[in-house]
Amino acid sequence: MSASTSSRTINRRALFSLAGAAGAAAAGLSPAFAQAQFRGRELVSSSFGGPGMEIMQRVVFDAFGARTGARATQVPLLSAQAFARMRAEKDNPQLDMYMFSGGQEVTAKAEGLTQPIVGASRMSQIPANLRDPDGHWVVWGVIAEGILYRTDKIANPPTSYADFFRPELQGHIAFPHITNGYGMDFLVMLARMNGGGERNIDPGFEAMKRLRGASIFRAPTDVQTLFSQGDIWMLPYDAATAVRSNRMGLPVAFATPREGAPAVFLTACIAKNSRNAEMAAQIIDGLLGAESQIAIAREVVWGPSNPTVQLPADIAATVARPDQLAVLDRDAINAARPQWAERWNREIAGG
Amino acid sequence: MNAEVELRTVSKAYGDAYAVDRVSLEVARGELVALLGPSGCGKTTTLRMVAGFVEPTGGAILLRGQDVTRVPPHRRDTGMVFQSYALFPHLTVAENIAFGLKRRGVARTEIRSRVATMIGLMRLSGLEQRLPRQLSGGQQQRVAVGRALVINPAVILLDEPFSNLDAQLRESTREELRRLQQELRLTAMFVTHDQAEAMAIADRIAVMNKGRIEQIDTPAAVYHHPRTRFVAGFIGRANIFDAEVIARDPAGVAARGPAGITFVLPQGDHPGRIAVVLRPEAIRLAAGTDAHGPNTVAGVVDVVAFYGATAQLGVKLADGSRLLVEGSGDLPQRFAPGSAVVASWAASALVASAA
Amino acid sequence: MGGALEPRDRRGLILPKWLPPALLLLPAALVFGGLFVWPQLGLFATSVASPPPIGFATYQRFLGDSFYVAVLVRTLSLGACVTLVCLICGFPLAFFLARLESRWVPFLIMIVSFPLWVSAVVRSFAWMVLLLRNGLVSIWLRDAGLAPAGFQLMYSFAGIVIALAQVLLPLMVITLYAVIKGIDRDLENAAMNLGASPGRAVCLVTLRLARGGIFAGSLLVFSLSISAFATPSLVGGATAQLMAVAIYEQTLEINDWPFAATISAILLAIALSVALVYGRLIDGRNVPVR
Repeated sequence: MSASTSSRTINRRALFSLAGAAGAAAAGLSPAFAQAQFRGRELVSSSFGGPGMEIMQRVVFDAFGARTGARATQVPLLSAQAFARMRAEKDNPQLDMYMFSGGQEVTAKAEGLTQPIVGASRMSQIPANLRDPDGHWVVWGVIAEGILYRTDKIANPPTSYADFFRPELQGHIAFPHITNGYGMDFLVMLARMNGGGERNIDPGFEAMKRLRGASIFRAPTDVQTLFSQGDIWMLPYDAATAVRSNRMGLPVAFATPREGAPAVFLTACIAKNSRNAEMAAQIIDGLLGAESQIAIAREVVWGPSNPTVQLPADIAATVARPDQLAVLDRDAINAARPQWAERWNREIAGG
Repeated sequence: MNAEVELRTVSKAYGDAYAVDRVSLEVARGELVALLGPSGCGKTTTLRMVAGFVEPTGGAILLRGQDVTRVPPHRRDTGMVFQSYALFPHLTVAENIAFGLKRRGVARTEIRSRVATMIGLMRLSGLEQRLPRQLSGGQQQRVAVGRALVINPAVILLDEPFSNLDAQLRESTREELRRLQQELRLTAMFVTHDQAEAMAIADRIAVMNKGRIEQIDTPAAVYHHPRTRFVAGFIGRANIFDAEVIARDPAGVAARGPAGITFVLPQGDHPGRIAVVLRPEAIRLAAGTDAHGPNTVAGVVDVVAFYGATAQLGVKLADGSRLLVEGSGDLPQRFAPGSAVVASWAASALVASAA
Repeated sequence: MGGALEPRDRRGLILPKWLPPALLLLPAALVFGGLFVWPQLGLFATSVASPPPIGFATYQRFLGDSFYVAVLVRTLSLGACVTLVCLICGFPLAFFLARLESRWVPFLIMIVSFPLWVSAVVRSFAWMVLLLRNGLVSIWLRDAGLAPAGFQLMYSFAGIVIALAQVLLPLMVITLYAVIKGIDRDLENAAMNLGASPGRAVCLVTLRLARGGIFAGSLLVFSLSISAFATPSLVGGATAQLMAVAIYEQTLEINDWPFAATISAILLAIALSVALVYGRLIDGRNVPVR
């Protein structure tokens, strides 16, 4: 295709791509077509950092770049910070695409910060409860939370959140701060275990108060330090961290609690006024594909959201099965987050 | 001898380098001794060792007969006047002067009266509440002296006390200090590089060079009988000749110097090679070309400097060296540049020192 | 002052007297105004807009809540403790360096500034290793009988003080070093000569004359400690209930920006007034530092 292609041709193509977006993307249009459309453009997405970000960069972002001649990159941002930035850059987004793990996409949509994802054909393969009815966001991965413990210190592996209250473990327990998503979910699971839940959090607070003396940490990187110091034997976190700790040589294992492994949904959405929405849609489509979903499951134990993806048996064994997941009411949690955070600061952190 | 300060072979070495090398010295009660020498000769280090700021690496320091070599500065009975004056910038004149009395636990009423006396003595009345930076250089210097005097120390130590004053003030201040020292019978040591200053006010001068005392004597003795070539050159102006002793008899010593000069000196205990010192003012000039006999030399006037009451001439000798001559103010009229002269001097004017 | 003394450019043009200083101040004023004053004004506007258009509900909420007042008090005591520790450790060190006559002094100062070279995360990591229950410092304290069994410095107020003092100490030392270096050493000698012991000489003379440096260093350390976020939250964990952390949580976790703006406005106001009062206290007699 020559550089002198008339604008009329492009307009026609644009119309065509809008009309038949899903089909066209799935069919995999000629590379020449994609090149002409995206060459030289640049897409930036927020991401969670770490090895997960590296895999996605390799399997999805770089592949997209190679195919189209565009540049697609990620910047690591915690969900809360990413959301603050999305809100601050509302009218002139510097990031085209956002990834959230704390349910921020719901608020973002409600505040009008997102736009529908148009042109990601695999959206239709995702179960309805894992995507926005209006197509503003979609879940591309599932983190299973549970219990991490030192295999050399704890003889009988934990099976329940109740094990945090074993007398012999007193002084050897840690848990994350409420501002860490896992800390929030731990509170909810303690509430559920004691007859409460998202809509009745009091039992959670009561139970957490009984863990007085436990170490409360903020930074995700503290997990390895706490375990390596030998003083902390058990804490609530996710399977990916257990795998990473293992690779660092720490005798740490992951246990799925009887009450269910709280699921954290990793979502993607497109910023409202992004000029690269079409590119973002194709990236999201890539995240939902088998290659990406399997690679992520293998490397960081984030489970697939696309039921059509078949995990190899060895990987499937490490990833929590759907029936082991406890699905939390994120809307309720997000609505109550400010009150709970305040209360937590007063009742739990104050010591 | 009733020594207020005594230094016994005191040394200060920094590694292999000796800043002060086996210095011995006694300062009697009421005596003012100057440590004189070029910069780096060890005079300030010596003074600071007496004050206790620098610890000697050898020897002993005694104050009023007590060995204070290892005694810290605040338990020594010395009063120091620093070159920079080191007045406490945050304290008033009165507070500066009272500082030492307060440290000694003197009663408040006594402090007040002693400070007032010192302020009067130092002519600082009316400036009591000033801060040092609000004073002139001379006033600051007087506060520094008053602050050191008020504690009645065994010895006053002055480190170049006049160097920060302009020339006129320097002269009047040093006379004042001398008067004060004599009236109060103060024992004092002071460091200077200015030989005129030392000659003017010191009872005795210790001339220092390269960490050692070359000579310690009264100003007149140091001037007229320099024991070393360095002392002769450092104190006043001098013509110094290298000479070789050629004859000795009970009446004197004959030595051959440069430009064909034969020196005849009074009897002395001198080795073969000597340095002959001849002060410029001891030379007489006459017109002429022939120089006969010892203690004369012929030459040509080439430089003339007129100072009013006195004048100096440079006389070029046969070997190209120059003889410095000092005389009354009429010298330039009598001997214009270019005139041939014969210089002569009395044997008693010659001093031989180690070569 | 005559016109002849006014600055002229080469062509003999007389420049207004205010122009050269104004030009000298311009770059700093632009940076300060654009990057600090202007956003700060915006923040202030946000804080006094609930309920809109002008309202002080967020201030009432903060000041009427003993929890937040405690956060404020804790933050100020943290600042005071860190400043005190830095002064007590920093003055002798700065004094030693200033009085050390060695060509190694620049190198030693470089070593002193080392903590500043390391990122807060890495540094806090190191503190974890030392301050956790099985960490060296905690073990020493327990062995020495200074702390009960099971005690750990990690996730405690004392731990935050230690970690912050470590990173801010170089600022105190370098500030004090410059000031003490400028004090004539003979002033101490003079004091000793007049009968003051070395310790008293330093107290009566050096410490007094170093007031300006003590003030500057303390202010620097104090303001940086009360606004510190990374180190306190990493080392303090949940106990780091401090103003900066509260601002972070309100901004990023709870998304209550008006309240966050209020907390930061209160922090700024209190920090400024503490600085003013402290300045008055320490500057009893206006002594220029030379």
